[in-house]
Formats: sequence, structure tokens, C-alpha cells
Amino acid sequence: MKSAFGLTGSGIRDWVVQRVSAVVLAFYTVVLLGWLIGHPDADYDAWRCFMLSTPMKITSLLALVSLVGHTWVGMWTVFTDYVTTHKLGSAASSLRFVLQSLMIVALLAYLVWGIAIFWAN
Amino acid sequence: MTSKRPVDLPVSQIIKVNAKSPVAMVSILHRLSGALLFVLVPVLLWLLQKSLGSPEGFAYVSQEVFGSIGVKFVVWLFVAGLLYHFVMGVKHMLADLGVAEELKSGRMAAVVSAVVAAVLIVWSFVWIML
Repeated sequence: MKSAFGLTGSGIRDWVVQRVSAVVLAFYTVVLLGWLIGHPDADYDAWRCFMLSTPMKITSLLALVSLVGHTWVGMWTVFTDYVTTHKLGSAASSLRFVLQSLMIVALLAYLVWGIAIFWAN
Repeated sequence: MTSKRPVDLPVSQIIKVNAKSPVAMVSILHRLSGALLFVLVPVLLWLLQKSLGSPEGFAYVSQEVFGSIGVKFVVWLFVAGLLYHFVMGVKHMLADLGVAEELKSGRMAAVVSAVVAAVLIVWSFVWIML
């Protein structure tokens, strides 16, 4: 049976999404932390110039999309491992349905919010 | 065939068994740190929006937020979780490539990753909180 809440409906595809998105997020983490460490006294103009430059706007969007894919697969794994009828009784299926739905809605909200920050300015 | 494997072990026993295994400990913390990051993303998005939105917002973030201990601590929690998740992610993907995936080498990789993550987390505390 296919899992209704998995990201791609295929275990191997979820696996690939998780790894590709991990590399994007790792790259973004290094770039952002690197800049922050290198510019301890950055002012508003420097911060804005860097973050809203075209390369960073594109990289940030890639990171946001990766965040959605990566977290979706990861939280799905956590919920399906721990919120189970075996562990929590018959209410677990409904609870997992609610948790998975909230998780997906939250991730889409993060995505839209992030796009508004980087692309609406 | 019905498995006779016990599936309803008490939590205390699960913890007792897994606490002895560095591989199990770094793995469950990898999951916990991921869940923590998921929950804290809105705080970081809020700081990003404030600091990029206007000079006043930037001043608010750099002076008010990073001038008091409350939100700054949450930011440190996020960065600490991120560094941990990052290090364990690298370990995981190296294992995917066949590096340190046997019992002994896997244990060694778990211990080394835990040490590296601990050093980075201490550094991030000094960087953000002090």
C-alpha cells in the first residue's frame, strides 16, 4: 500500500529528494554562516545587498524548496515511526493524519513566507 | 509467519539498551534536532524578514533581539541544532557512499561525529551568546 502522506509516493524517490535537498541545505548553511562569521559588524546596507543579490535570492529559493522536501520526508519518517496504533492505540491514525496535515500546511506557509521575504522586496 | 519478536518493550528498557550504543544515540538526536529545526524555522524567518525589511527592523534585530538573552537563546538553539544535524547528515551521506558503515567503523564514525558536533555547538554558544 502506498503511503498517502509520503512526498513522492515512492520510497526510492523520497530517498533521493532527501539527499539532494540535504546537499542544497548544507551548501546554503555554509554560505550563510560563512558570510555572518566574515562580517561581524555588517550594517543594514551590507546585509541587504548580500541577501537580496540575485545569486542569493536564487540560492535562498532553492534552499526554501529543499527545506520543504527535506522536512516533509523527515517528519513523515518520524510520524510513521512513532505515532502508530501499535504504540499509541487506535487514536494514532487520526492523530497522525492531523499531524501530517499540519506539518505540510506549515511547510507550505514557510515557503510562501520565504518567497515573500526574498522576492517581494 | 507471525513474528514472536517483542514489540512492546517498556521505554525504560529501550533507553537502557540504546544508551549504550553511540550509533543509536547520535541517530535519535539526529531526528530530534531535525524536529527542533522544523519547529524553530518561523523564528528565523521572522528575524530575516525584520532585518531585511527596513533599517529600523535591522536595528531592532541587532540591538533588541541580540541585545537580550531570550530570543538570542532560541537563535542559538537553532544554530546548535543545525550544526548537529549538518554533521550527522554528512556522516549519513558518507555511509550511503559506503564509508564507515560496518559495525566497528560505524561506531567510530558516531563517536567522531558527536565530538565534532559538540565542538561546533560550544563554538556557536561562544559566538552567539557571549
